Amino acid sequence: MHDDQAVQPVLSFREVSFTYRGDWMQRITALREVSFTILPGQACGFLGANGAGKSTSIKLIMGLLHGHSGDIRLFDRPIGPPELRRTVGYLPEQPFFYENLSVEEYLRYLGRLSGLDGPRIRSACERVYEELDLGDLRRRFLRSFSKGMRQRFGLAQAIFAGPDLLVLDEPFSGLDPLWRSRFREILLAERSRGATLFFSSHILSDVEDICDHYVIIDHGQVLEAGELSGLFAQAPVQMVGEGPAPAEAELLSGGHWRWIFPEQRRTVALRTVQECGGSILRLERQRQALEDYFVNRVRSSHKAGQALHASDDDNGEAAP
Amino acid sequence: MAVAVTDGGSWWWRHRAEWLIGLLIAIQAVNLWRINHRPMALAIAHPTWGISRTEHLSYLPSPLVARLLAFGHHNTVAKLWWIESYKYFNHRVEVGGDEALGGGERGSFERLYDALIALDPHFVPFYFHAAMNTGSVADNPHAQLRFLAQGVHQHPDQQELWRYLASVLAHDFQMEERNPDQLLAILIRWADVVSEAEGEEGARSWAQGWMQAMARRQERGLGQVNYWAGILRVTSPTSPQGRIADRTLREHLTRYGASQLQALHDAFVAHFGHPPADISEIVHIEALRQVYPTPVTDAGPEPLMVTGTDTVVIRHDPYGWPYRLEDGTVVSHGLRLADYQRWLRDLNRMARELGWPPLRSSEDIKLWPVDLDAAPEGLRLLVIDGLLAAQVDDPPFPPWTINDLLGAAELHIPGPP
Amino acid sequence: MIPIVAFATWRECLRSRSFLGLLALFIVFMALSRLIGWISATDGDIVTTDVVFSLQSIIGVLVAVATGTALMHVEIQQCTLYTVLSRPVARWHFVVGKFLGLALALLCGQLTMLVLSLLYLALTGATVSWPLVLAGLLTAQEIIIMAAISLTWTTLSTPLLAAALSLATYALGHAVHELPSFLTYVRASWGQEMIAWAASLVPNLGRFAYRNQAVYGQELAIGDALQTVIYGLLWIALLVTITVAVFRRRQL
Repeated sequence: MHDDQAVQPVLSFREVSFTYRGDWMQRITALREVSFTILPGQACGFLGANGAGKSTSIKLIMGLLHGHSGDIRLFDRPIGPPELRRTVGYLPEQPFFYENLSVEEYLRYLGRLSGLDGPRIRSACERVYEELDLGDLRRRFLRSFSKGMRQRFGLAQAIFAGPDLLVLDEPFSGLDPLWRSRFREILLAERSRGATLFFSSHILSDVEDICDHYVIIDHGQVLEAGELSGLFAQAPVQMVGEGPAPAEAELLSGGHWRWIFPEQRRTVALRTVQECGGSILRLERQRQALEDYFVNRVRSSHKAGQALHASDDDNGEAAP
Repeated sequence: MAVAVTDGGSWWWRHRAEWLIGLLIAIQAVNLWRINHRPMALAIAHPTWGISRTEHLSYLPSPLVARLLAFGHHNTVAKLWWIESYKYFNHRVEVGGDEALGGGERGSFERLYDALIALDPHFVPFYFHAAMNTGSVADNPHAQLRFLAQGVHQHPDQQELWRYLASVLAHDFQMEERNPDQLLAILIRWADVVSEAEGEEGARSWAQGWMQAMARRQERGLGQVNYWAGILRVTSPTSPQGRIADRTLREHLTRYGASQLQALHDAFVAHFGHPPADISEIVHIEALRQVYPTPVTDAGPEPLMVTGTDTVVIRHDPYGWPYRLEDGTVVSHGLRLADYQRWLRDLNRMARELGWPPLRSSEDIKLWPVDLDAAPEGLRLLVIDGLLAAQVDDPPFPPWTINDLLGAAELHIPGPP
Repeated sequence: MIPIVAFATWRECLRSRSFLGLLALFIVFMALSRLIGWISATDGDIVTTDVVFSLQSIIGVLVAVATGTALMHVEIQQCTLYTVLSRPVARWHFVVGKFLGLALALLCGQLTMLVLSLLYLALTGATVSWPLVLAGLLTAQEIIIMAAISLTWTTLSTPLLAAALSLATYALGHAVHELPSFLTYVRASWGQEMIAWAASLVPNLGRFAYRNQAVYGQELAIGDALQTVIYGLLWIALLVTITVAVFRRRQL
């Protein structure tokens, strides 16, 4: 995605492939030559349909799966040594926690594992209690937590040690709109603190709000990666005017018309309106939802895949 | 709906290993059931199986299998099986004998106690119960002897086991008569293996008691009465063990009675210078003063008793026959009959062991290389199954009830002279 | 890292419902054990002591198998280990810490049961002696070995299968103690050697069943006791090593 040699990437995948054994011991390919890079301070949305390989990629980053080919690097070092994960915060998909530990005990436990000393653990606890409203729940055992509460605690434990990289698998899952908004705020705050974000989500509007980069993965292969601003720059332009209308414009009520054209044709369009004598009331970039783009992109990929499949059966498979 | 079906199928498939294991366990359980080695029988209380289990102990495995099935809880499993076998024991006490289901020629008691002792060889009551049940209930003295020998081997410090072993050897196997040296060697072994000074002393005194018992034809005292009374108290009077104790006590009491009456007779002769005309005359105040310097108890082992009119009279002997005075000697006719019957039993045993020809009538006794003593009064010789048997008249008085006597005897039993 | 994981596991285990439930079950059965002593009529104290010490062992095994198999299963199935392994924790640290925490919890349970047993026996008038204390401690070690066995099987299979295999290993572990008697039934010398070799693949749990002798006050020589303890520790080390080796290769 980026090829900036001056800045060391926080996370990079280079031609990473991963296969696993299925029920009948057959080999199933979950990732196929996946490559992307995340630089410090970036917030990257990791997008893909169910079984596309998102969680597999994240588990590979966290060292929960192994046996991949290619190169995965954390802070520009090959993954493997547990020490590399000292400044990584991780929120798994559908997190479960030890049922018989209280919130406070759990956070202290994880804090000690992250190498924090007593005072830092205490201050970190106070911080996440405040940010995620867990202060009143600090002595409650996690077995009594609902899904949304578990998700809150999951984010709390992920940001607890002030990580440099936050890896989040579906962080907005199971949250009500209020807490989704709160999560967005917290993640933006983490970003502004300097943390790098890498998270998968099905709620793409949240990705739009938080991220500046994206990676789309499908059937274990990266379909597309880049800056979200670049994606939005490709959105069409909408021109609303009155008077004589260009031939391609759509007529509206009240003598108004609307013309939608690609950004590349902006100059040509302005000249055309001028030539036909119309007057422009409003010129704006039409907002393209990331979700629409993602759906279209994946669908087009599937169509291409089916065409390929017709000639070659050896295709990528769903992730574990 | 489609999702539910898919999930159900995968659940079965995901747990295929568990189902397979479950199936194997079920097959194994059926096999165990079929071969009659049923470890679960202990845990399952089924009304119809319960009868079979308690009446035959058919669930009992071999000692090795029992140890394998105990999984390190040998003691507890042994105790639970032991408690479980109480029903069988009660059943066998009622009907007698011993079933041998599943154990080949060995009876269920043998199989039970072999398994229990293999599991928990340190629990002393197992040996006592094994000996009592195989001997007294199942009438198998050889098995009884085996368990007792096992017991003293495992627990050489257990005085009671040695005592039990010695009594079985003496009375069931007539070791004092047939092989007194070997019995003495066993008694010496007993004295040697006990470690504590007190125990050693106990063993020696008991061994001496047995040496006295071996010479009891000449003994006059009641030194063994307490021991045999103890045996009689813990066994049923009708059991073989109880009958031995009863017979021995009766014999001891008779000899003691005869010796006391003889002392009265001798005191009478010494005082009056002539023998009494009738045995009843020996109960004279002068003779009584010499033989009984302390008052005579009203009941107990004494051959005398006080009547309602404060008159001291001679009791009949413990067999129910009056004591007799024959040529200046007090004799018990009951004991004479008992001795004769014992002699007949020994003779029959000898005939069997040495292969003497079977008798068709009492006249054939000349075929046997022995001189048959004349049968005492009130006893007629018969031949049953080629061996000698005795038909004895009922005594003129009811024999002593030894159990009744023991309550009083405990109060006052004179020590050995 | 190991002590941190061990401490959290210990706390988690002590609060688990199965652990506390089985401990409560022990107390109920222990109170009822006197009934068996009464039924037996003769030497009821010994019978009660036998039953109480067997209960300590049986319930200990159930706790070890239930907790041992559930421990890793819950970690893997519910992914609770993700939040731990995403920290700078090596997998072998995690496994060893988990085992030590479990072993510590089981030891606490066993010591509680032992103290309760001895108090109960003393109150009911039975003899309480040092051999019984030693027997209880050796039983505790047997239980910790069972925990290691359960942990190993859990990393290799599903929890139900692991529990079944753990209990089968327990049965085999006691069966190999009876091997000398069993081998007399095998005529061929190569058969005897084969069986003896196969038996060495299973821990001889019968060595830890000193309770059967301790009830009668029989003393265990210090050398023998030490030998048994070292034997147990070696097996624990071996089983934990196998678990670590398997777990390191496992896809989570």
